[in-house]
Amino acid sequence: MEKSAQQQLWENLEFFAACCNEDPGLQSELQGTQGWIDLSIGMLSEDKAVTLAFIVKNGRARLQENIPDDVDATVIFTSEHVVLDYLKASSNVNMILSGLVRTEGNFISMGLFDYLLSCLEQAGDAGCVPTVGVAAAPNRDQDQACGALAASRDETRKRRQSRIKGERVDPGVKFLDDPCLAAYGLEDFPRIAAFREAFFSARPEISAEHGKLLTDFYLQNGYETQSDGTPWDPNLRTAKSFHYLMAHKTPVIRPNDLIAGSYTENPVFGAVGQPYAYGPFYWGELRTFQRRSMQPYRISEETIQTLHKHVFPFWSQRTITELWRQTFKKSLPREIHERFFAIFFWKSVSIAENPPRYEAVLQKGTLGLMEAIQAELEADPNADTEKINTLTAMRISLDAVNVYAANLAARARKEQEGQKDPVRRGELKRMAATLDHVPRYPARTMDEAIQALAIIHICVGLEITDDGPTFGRLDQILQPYFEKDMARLESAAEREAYIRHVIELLGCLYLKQASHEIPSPEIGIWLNSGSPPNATIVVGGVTRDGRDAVNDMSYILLKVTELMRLTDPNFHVRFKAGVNSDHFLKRACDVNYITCATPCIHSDDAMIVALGAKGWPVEDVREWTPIGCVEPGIYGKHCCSTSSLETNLVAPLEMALNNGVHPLNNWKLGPDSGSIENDDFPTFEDFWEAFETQCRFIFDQGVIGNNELGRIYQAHHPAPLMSALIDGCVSSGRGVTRGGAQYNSSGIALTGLADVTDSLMAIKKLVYDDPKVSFKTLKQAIQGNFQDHPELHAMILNRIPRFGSGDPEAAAMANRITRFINAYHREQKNYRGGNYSTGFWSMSYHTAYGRLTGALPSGRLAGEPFTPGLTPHPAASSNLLDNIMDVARLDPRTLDNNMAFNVRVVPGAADTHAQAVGRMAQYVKTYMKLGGMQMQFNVVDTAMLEDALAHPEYYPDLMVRVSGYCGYFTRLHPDLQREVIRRSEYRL
Amino acid sequence: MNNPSPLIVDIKGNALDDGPGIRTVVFFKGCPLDCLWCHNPESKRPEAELMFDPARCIMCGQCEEACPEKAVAPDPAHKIDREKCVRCFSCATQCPSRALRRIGEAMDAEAVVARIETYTPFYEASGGGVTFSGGEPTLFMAYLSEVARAVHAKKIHTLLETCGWFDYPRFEKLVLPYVDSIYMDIKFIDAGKHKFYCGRDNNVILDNFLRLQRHASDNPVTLLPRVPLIPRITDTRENIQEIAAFLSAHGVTAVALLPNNPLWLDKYLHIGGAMDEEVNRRLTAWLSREELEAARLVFRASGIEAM
Repeated sequence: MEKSAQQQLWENLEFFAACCNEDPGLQSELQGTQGWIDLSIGMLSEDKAVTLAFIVKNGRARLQENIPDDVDATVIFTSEHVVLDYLKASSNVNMILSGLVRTEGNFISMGLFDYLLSCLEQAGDAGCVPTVGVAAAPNRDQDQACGALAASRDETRKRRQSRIKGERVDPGVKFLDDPCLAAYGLEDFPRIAAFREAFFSARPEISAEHGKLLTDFYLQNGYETQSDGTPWDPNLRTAKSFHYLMAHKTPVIRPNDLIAGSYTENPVFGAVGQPYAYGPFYWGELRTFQRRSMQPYRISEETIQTLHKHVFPFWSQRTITELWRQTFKKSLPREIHERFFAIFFWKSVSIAENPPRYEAVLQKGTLGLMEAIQAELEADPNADTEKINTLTAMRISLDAVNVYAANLAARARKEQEGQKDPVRRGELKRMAATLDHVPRYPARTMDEAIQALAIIHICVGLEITDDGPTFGRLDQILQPYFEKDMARLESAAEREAYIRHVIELLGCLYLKQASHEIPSPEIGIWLNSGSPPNATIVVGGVTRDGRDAVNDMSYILLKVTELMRLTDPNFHVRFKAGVNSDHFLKRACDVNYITCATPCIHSDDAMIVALGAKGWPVEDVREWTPIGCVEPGIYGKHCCSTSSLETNLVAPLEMALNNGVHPLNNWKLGPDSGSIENDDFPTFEDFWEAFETQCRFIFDQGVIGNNELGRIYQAHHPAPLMSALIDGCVSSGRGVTRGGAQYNSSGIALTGLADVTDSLMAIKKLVYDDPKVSFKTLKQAIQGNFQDHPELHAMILNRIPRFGSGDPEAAAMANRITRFINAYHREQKNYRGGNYSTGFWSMSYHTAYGRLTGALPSGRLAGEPFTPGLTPHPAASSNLLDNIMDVARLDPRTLDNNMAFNVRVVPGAADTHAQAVGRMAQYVKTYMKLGGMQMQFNVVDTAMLEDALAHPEYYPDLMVRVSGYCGYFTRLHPDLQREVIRRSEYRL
Repeated sequence: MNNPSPLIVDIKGNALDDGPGIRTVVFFKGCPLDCLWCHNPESKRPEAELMFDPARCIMCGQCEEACPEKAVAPDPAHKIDREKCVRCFSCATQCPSRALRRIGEAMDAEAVVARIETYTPFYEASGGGVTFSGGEPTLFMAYLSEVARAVHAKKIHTLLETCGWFDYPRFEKLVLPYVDSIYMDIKFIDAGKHKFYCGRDNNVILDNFLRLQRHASDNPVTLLPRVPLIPRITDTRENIQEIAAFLSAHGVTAVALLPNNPLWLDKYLHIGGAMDEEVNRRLTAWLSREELEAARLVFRASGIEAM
C-alpha cells in the first residue's frame, strides 16, 4: 500500500533531523555568532491529514506530531496531495503563486529551513551558468544564420551608426552646435565602453557588508533598547547605525573610474540586500543562487557564512515584514500580502521612492546643510524632543556622508601612491582633491558636482534601501556647472574636450547606478522580473516659472543614455507642448529608436493637470520628476512613496463574480455583494455596485496595511538623511515618515485596468444590453475556462468592443473605473496626513497576478498575463491610433500616480532612421495633444525578440520596457518574455 | 442623389503606405476594370459579398443553422456553396468568430466624413490625410464628390487612387476641385494587352492621364503615375520601356512602382475565387530585389525617378 503523505513527509524530515544532529557540517551550520540558530516549523494540510512540526533547538533537531502554538512558521498545504508534490518540487514558488501552499508566521523561518535543506542537498561546488558579455558575443561573420536573422542581430548596431545630427533651436541650449552630438559613438569613450562591457560580462555578487556592519553595530549598542537599557529614539538609532555603517564601509575606487564610491565591495556589479528589508528573504537560496536559471548571483562561502550565521539570525525577528506581524498580530492586509494575489505591500521592500534634493548638497554642501539645521534648532526655543532628536539625527547622518567621503579621499591618495601610470596618478590626485571639497562644501565644477551626486545618492540608498531614490531633474541641476566650466574655456578644442569629459563622467555615474541591484529571492523574480533599482533621471519640460527647461545638459544626458543603453538609470523625458521644441521631442524619440526602449516620454500638460488637482501651487507642480518607474513627485519637497501598493484590480472583479470569495484561493475574503446564482443583479448597475463593494474592501485593506507599515517605518526606519533633503522636514522637526515633508501622499499602482474594462464591457453587452447569454452561463463558461463554451469565447473575442478599440462606450467604462478608484483614494488619509494617488502601471505584476487569476469575462484564459500597465489588449484594434486615442481620453486627474502605456513599433523595411524617428514623434505629439499623459515605445520586432529567445548570446544587452521599468530581455522571466512578444506590433 | 450609394469595403486608419503622412484609406466597392491580379479582389464587385476565412472558423455550426438556403457545409475547406448562396448574410450575422463576414456596408457620406475626421489630429501632426481607394472611387462620382468636398473644406489633405477609367468632364466638375493629389495606375501602353488582362482597353485611361497631367501643370494638384509590377505580365522589359517612353514623352519625371504582393490571393480565395494553376503560379511570386531594380533602371534611363 502506498504510504500516506504524512508518512512520507515524516520519513523525509526524520532523515533530515538525523543529518542535522549527526552530520558535522550541518551541526556547524546550526551554530551562529549569537548562539544556536533555532527553528520551529509546522506543516499542515487543510484536511489535517498532514500535521507535524520540525523543531531545532540548541543544536538538536526533532519531529513531533502536534504543532506548538509558538511555532515560528507554519506551512499550510491545501491538501495532502499538494504535500507530495511539494516534496518532489525543486522550487516551491510556483506552488505558492498558485495558492496551493501558504505560510503563516515568520516567512524568514521558512528561508532558514530551506537553507538547511540546501546544505544537505549540496554536493560539492555549485556549478555556475556562464555569462556572455557584449564583446564575447559570437562572431557574426561566422554565423550561419539566414538573412532575416542576421538582419535582426545587426539591427541595433545599424541604428547606432545611422545616427543623425541636430540643430541648435532650443533657447536654453547655449553651447552645443549639434545638440544630438552625432559625432560621438561609444568607441570614442574607451573607458566607459570597457566598464559597460565589464558590466554585461559580470554577474551580480551578493555582499554581506551592509548587513554585517549594521549587525555589528546593534550587537554592540542594542536594537530594542540601548546597551544601557534606555530606550532608543528611532531617528538617533538610525543615524548612529548609519554613521557606523558609512565609517566602516570599504571605500572603493574602481580602477580607472573617474568617480569614487560604490554600493558594495564589488564596484562592477554587487547586490546590497538590506538586512531589515528584502535581505533575509533569500536565506533559503544562499546556496542555490548561483545555480538558478533566472537572475543567478555570485556569492562567496565567506559571505554565505556571514549572512547565515551572523546577519540573518539577528534580523530574522526584525525585518519590516516580521515587525509588521509582531506589531499588528491580526492584520488582514498582511495575510493578503502573504498570499500574493491581490495586494503587494512594497513597504516590505522599500520606502525610498522619493525625490530628495541632492541639489541642496551641490549648492550648499553638507556642512551648509548642517549649519542650517543647527540654526533651526537654535532659533526654535520651543523645539520638542522629537524635533531635537530628528534634527540631531540629520546632522549625524550628514556627517556620516562626510566621513565616507573622507575615507574615499584617503583611499584615492593611497591608490595614487602605488600608481605607476602618470595619467591615472593625475586622475587620482584630482579625485582626492575633489573628495576633500565635496560633498562638504558647495560644488564648483562639473567634476565636483557629479562626485557629490554619486556620494549622496549612494548614501541615501544605503540609509533605507537602494531601491527608488531619484536623481531628479539632472539637466536643471547640472546646467549651471556646465555653463560655468564652459565659460572658462577659450578654444573650440578645449570646449570639445570638456564636452567629451562630461559625457565620460556621466557614463561613469550611469555605470555606478547600474552596478548594484536588489538581490531578489525567486519569488521576487516572478513579481518584478529584471527590474533594476530604478534611479530615474528626467530632462526637459518647463521651469518653475513655466519657461522652456531644455538646455545643453538635457541633450548631453540624452546622448549618454544613447551611448550607455542601460536599464538603470531609468531615463525619462518631459515634453511640454508649445514650449519645448519639436527638435527636442524628435531627439527623445531618436534615442528611444537607437536604444529600443528608453526614454519614457511624459506630457507636462497632463501631469500638471493631474498634480494641480491636488491643490498644489503650479510653480511646485512644474518641478515634478518621475520616480521609480514613472510616478510623479515634486522634486525636493515631497514624500510620495509612489509604489506603496501594487494592487490587482482584477481580484475585486473576481470577488464580485463570486460574492466575496476569491476563487483561486477559495477564500471568502470580501463582504457579500450579491450572487449571480441567486439572480441578484437584475441590471448592469447592480453588478457594478458589487464590483465597487469588493474594490472598496480591497482598497481599504491596502490603506490599512500601508498605514500599519508606515508606523513600522516611523518606529524603525525614519530616514533622517533623506528627511534632511526634503523641504519641510527641518523646519517642522519631523522626518519624512512623520509627515515632515512639505507635500505628502502615498502612491498606488493598479494592475489590470484594460482586462477589467473589457470584462465589464463583455458583461454589459452580452448579459444586459443585447442579451446573448445569462450571467449564470457566462460564469459557468469562465469557471470552465471557456472549454465548454467555444462559441461564447469566440463571440467575446471578436464582437465585444474593448478599451483601445475607439469605441466610446469602452473608453467611458475605463474612465468610469479610474474615476471611481481615484475618488476613493483621494479621500483616504495615509499615516503622514497625505492622501493616496492612483497610478496604472504594473512592474511585472501583470504576469504574476495573471498566474493567480482564472478566466475572465473579457475572454482572457486562466493564468494568462494581464496587459502591461493600462495598455489596451492586442485584440482591441489593429489600428494604433484607436489605442492612442482611447488612452488619451482618460481623465489625467484620475491618473495622479501616472500610467504605463506600452507601444511596440517597428520601422518599415524602406524607412530611414529619420523617417522612423519622425513618425514616433508624430504619434507622441498627437497623443499628448489629445490629452495623453505618458507613452513608452519598444522599437523591436517579433522576429528579433524570438531570435533573442532562441539565441540569447546575440542579445546580452537588448533592452525592453516592461511596464515603467526597462529590463534586459534575455534576463526576464519567461512569462514576461512571452508577454512582451504577445504585445501588438505596429509598423512605423 | 441619383447616383447609387456605394458600398464601403473598409475604412482603415493609420495607413502609412498610401500617400504622405498618417492617413485614413476609404476603400470603395466596385471597379470598372477586371485586372487579373487585383490586389483588393473583394472590392471589385459593387455588390456585397460573403467572405470566409477558414483560419478563424471554430466549426461551431451556427452558420449551417442560420442559412435558409442550405448553402453552408460543415467542412471549412468547402464552406460556402456560392451557387446556392443568395447573400442574405444570415450566417455572417450569426458567426461568433467573424470567420464569415459581409464585405461591403452602405454608409452615407456624412458617416464616412465623420470617420475620416476622427483622426484629424494625426493628419495635422504628420502631413497626412485621407486616401480614396478601392475598388474605383470615381465609379461613384457624386458620392465621392460629396465626401471629398466636405473633407477638403475641413483642410484635410485628400488623395485619390484611381485606375483612370472615368468620365473626365464629370470628374473635372465633381471631384477634381476637391483632391490635392492623384495616384493613377498605368498598367500597359498596349491597348490589346490592357484589354486582355484588365477587361477594357486603355484609351480612356491614357487620355485621362494626359488631361490630368495638363491640369496639374498649372494647378495645385499633384499627379503621380503608378506602375504595378506583376511578374511576367506588366514587368516585362518591353512593357516597362513602353510606359517609360510614354511618360517621358509627356514630361513625367517620377513614377511609383508597386511590386506584386501575393497576399491578395488569400482574400481572393476567401470570397470564393477559383484557383487557376497558371494564374496561381504567375501571381503568387514575390518580385525579387533584382527585378525591381531592373525596372527602376529602365525608368531612370528615360529620365524618370522610380520610387
